[in-house]
Amino acid sequence: MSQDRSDIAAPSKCNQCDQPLASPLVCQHCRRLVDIGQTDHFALLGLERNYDLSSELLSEHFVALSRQVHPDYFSDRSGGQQRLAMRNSARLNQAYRMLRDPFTRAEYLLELAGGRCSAEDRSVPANLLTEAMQLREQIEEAKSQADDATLVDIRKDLLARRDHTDEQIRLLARRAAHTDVSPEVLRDLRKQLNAFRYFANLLEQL
Amino acid sequence: MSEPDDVILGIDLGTTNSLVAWADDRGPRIVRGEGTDGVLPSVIGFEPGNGRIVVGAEARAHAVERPETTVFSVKRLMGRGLADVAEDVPWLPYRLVQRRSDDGQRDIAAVEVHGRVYTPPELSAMILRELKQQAERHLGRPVRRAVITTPAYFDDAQRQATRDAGRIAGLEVVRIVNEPTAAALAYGLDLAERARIAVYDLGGGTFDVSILQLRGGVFEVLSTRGNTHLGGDDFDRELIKLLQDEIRQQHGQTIQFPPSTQQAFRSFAEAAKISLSTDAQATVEIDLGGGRLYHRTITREEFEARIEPRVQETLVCCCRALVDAKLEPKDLDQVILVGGSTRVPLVRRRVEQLFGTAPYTALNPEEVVALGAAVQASILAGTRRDLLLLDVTPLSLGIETMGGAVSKLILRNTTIPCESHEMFTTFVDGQTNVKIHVVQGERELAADCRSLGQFELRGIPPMPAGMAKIEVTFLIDANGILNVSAIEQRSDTEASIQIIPAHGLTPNEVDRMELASYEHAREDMLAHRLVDLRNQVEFDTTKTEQMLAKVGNHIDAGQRDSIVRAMQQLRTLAGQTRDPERLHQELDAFGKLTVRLAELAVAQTLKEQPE
Repeated sequence: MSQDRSDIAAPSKCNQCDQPLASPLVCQHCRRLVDIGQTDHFALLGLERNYDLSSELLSEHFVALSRQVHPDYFSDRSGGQQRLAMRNSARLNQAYRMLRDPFTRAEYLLELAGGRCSAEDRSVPANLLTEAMQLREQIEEAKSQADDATLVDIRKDLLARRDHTDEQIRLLARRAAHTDVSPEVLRDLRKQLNAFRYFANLLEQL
Repeated sequence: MSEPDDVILGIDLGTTNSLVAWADDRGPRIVRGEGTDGVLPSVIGFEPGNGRIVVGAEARAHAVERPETTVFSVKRLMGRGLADVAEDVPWLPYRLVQRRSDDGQRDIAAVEVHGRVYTPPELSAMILRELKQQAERHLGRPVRRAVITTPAYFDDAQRQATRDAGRIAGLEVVRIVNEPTAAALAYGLDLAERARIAVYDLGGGTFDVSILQLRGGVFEVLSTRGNTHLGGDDFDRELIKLLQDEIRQQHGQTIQFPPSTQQAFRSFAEAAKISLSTDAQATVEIDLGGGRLYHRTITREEFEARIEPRVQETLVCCCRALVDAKLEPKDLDQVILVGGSTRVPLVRRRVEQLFGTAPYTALNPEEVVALGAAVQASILAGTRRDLLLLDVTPLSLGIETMGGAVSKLILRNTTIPCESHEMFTTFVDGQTNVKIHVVQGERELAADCRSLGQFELRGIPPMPAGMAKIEVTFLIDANGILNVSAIEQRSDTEASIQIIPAHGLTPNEVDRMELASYEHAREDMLAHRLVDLRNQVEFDTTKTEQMLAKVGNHIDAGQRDSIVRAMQQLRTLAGQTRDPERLHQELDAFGKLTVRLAELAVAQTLKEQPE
């Protein structure tokens, strides 16, 4: 079961030096690692929860935080801080991996908003299954006849469909990033994300 | 905690050669022994008779005459079972055996010499110990910590075996670093402030390619691919096959190559390969016995045609690494070549063709890995803060589920450290143990992946089936090594975990081997000392005989007799004793007894040669 995780909150001040925390992983002032519980990936990276994210800014934050929490820089500290560096670093890496790719970023926004994951809800937009089946047959036929011209056409068609889905995802994921998102938006986002996977798989078959 | 001046070594433990480096505020440097280039051949020789073990050039020099007791290419055996290295067996003249553990659960490919079985970590430890001693002599103080490199594509068992080798050699391995990333670190800030680079690393036995993104001193690995069974050794083997096929055509298919001839083929093939890097042709001459001499000139074209398929394999890896990094060749700013095998001109040409840019080779490709390990050592020692390495795990980590399928927990190319949490429960009422089979690899079925071993969760409080909620954390640390911990959430008890590695050593076994290796090192030292003392006895007694002949009549008969008697006793003792201390004492006593004689002899000599 999924649950609404919009209430996940991170500590806002360092409990040692009382300075505000830019990221809940580490205090930039006293270099003390913070033992965090579950924290939203965006907050972890010191970013606003948003679908539109400049990859430049994201990687800048990631690199700057890595320089502060990576275990390499804690080998002279106590065992506890070393273990914490390992764990916080692992969390930072996971957050970065999840947010770096727009597709997984949308999946994550959906999860945060309490939407269902693909294992729980495999629905796709109307007509997609029929269309996908037809496309698959066309691909197999063109492949068996070594009909490269048709394959190129199919590829173009698939890319256009995927880009269209991508556009839908962007619009819906932007709305999912807000706290007052409606259940319809989340359901639609789930369908579009599932559709995106279909097209990506078909493209891989080519 | 460490002393401020406590040096951490950087060690490149290679298939054919090994090196050790260290760094101070002026940067990393290779440790070079007196009059050497610092390259230690990764060869271990077991001398017949006295049980002495030699490592390096001396061991390699005897490889042809002592094929069965000269051990090389140990790295290919690390963390492997005998079945895994089947294709290597015909190429290795020493005896490979399967070492079964006491519990019968694990098998390790091991080497048997003079009736004793040595595991690959023990053999690698002999090389590491030699490097450690080299560094200690150079630095003039003891060293106890090291960063050791492994191929990026090494799996968990191979990394653990490397760490075990360090411990057996008396080194605390503070980090395992991937060879291609170490190489990038060695270039360090000489590279552009912001750049995307590929590191092509073809060593003696392994191949890796890593794609990195550099930003402000942070080296982020985007993807890595490789083959832990492809390297310069394989180029040699192609040449050997070429020669042997021809010999069979000339002298009949049944011709046999005894181990010493095999070893000669190996030496000649390696020499021919190296000279073909600069010359258009190389000549090979091998004595086949019975007055038959095989003479052959190999051209570079012939050699290149033979190795082309292996080079192509590396290029396929490069393309896959690029796809994983979502990049194309033109997106890369630089390609760095690492490893001795990149001296082969065909390799350089093909790499240049693929990436469309001339490879960057400012540093010696054979030294760059050890230098990079020393840089990483200085980061860990806290003396360097400008660089940071963010590496990835090369293989996906998964657990076997119902029906033998794999459920992937951590995907390959995930930045390390990384972790994954998984919930497990019990299937039977009152069940207190849960077994988890952990595998590494990309295949869908567990049987096709590499087994890391069985993890058994114990001490789960008895409760109805399905009630237990055991959260297992799989953490891959910065060494690329898996750590597993588990908590039963309902009772909040930490479940204990017993790990049975598929091809590894248990901590107890490593402890035992560490002790044994100290013991062995002591024996080795004693044997060495004994040889030195015997030589000294021989020298001193011969000298005394000469002095007796010359000035013996200047001392009284009683004294002369006691010197002659002592001389005989000393020679007998030198021939029989295994106790260097006693021999040393007797030699000293003999020295004192002959002081007067020596003085007379010197005086006589001076008298005979005035001015």
